Amino acid sequence: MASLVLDDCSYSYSNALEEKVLSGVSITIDAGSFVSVIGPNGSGKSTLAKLLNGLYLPSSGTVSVDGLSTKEKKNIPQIRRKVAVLFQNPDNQIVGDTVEDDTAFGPENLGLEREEISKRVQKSLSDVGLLEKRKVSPSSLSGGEKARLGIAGVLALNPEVLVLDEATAMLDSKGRKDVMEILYNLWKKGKTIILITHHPEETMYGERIIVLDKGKIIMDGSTEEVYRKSRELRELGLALPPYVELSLLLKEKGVVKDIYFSSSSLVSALEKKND
Amino acid sequence: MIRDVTLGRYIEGEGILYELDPRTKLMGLLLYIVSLFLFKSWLGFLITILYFLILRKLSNVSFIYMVKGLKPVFFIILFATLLNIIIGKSDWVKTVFTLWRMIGAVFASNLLTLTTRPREISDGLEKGFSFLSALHFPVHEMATIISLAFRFIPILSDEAGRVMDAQKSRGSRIGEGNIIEKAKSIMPIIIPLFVSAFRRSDELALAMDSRLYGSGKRSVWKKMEYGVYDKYGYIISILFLSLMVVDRCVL
Repeated sequence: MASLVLDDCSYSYSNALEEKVLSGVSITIDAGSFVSVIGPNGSGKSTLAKLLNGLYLPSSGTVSVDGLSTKEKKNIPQIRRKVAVLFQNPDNQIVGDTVEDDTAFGPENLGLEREEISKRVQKSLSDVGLLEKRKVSPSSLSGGEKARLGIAGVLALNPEVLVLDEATAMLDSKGRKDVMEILYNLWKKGKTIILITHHPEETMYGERIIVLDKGKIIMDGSTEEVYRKSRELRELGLALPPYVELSLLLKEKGVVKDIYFSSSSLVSALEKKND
Repeated sequence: MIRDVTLGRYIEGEGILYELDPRTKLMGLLLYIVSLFLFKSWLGFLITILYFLILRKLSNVSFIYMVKGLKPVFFIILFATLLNIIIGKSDWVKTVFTLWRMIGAVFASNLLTLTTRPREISDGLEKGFSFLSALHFPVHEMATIISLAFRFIPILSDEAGRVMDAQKSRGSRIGEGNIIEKAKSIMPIIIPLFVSAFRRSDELALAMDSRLYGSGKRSVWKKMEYGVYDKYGYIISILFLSLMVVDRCVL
């Protein structure tokens, strides 16, 4: 299983620009983990995503996947088989004329046999719940379905790590929930998930949060550890999950004694208090 | 007008034209366009129209939809026709023939793209021109570029419509005034459209890279195979061309 290591990574879009988009970032992401990356606009989240499978190369420092450095050109195909990146707008990533053709694009690039491609297309579409729409044009899908098609397209490469760069940003709440449930199931099946998001409730599906600001890591810890630093997060303009926000308010008023990280635990605490 | 672009739009449907192999349709289109420039007589003119109408019937694509597709190229056709009259000093018969040659070519090209998925067109081109690979011509890459260009025509045309609405809502007077003012009013649409197209192409390139495009030898999942109608498609296309050759040389 693939583990990702960023060692003192910096990145700037132009050598002429002194300002770095990422500066001295060091992260280790273990295989099988679910990590959310949050931060204000321009904090370097998307650049980080593109560094993870060698779409961008760091200006300094190294990015390695299972010990394979992205700086070695010969490693890139192997790295991209392990680490798949999905971007924000699914319309800009669809290359096939039908749902199944688009899903087959990656396996075709791998040069796989037709039978193997069929198997992968079948499995990937089944994993995202689009099997019955395999023959339709992607343009006739809803936003949520297009996002799921994007996931199917990268799943067909059979990657070990899925990096989602605000892949739910353009979706309605049902579409986001569907995508998050698919990601959660994939994580439970052993995939590593790296989720870049502006929606705090999505981070609750995971176990670790990395907070970026101005190209630097300013927080890195478990979901609970990070959301306990609510004041710092608010100063950055970052929102908290609604029930964390509510429990903070109730704690301030003395209604509850702690912060709760799920709606059910908050409700239980309130019920106990009423009893 | 930008929203009326039909080139590159595929319409889901059923009909003999849908069932033809893209190679047959590409060859048919090529021969039809050549035929359009061959006929000389009124009989040839009428046969090309009749042939197109039969093809349109076989495709089941709405004729009104196809006529709407002429709107974006209306000024080009008008300009070319005027040039033909003024510089070419053509009489009205030649002018009518020239007008139909341009309209017929647009109609036929639209018929191909409306009944053939972009990927099928690119696969057809790739297969048809595969002999050029021996000369180290990047046939596959060219076919992919064409396929993606076709795929993005409707997306960018829709985007242009959205930009236009946004600019109009901010008080821009698009399409109003004389011809110079109309031309000037297009600039606030063109610039955001270009920016958006570059952004989209950048993201598409990254997504394709991420899905290992160009990392090695590709395989093909769905192989093209000729169906029952393809043989007749080739025969009819060649017969039609022969008829137009006769029209040019004999009539």
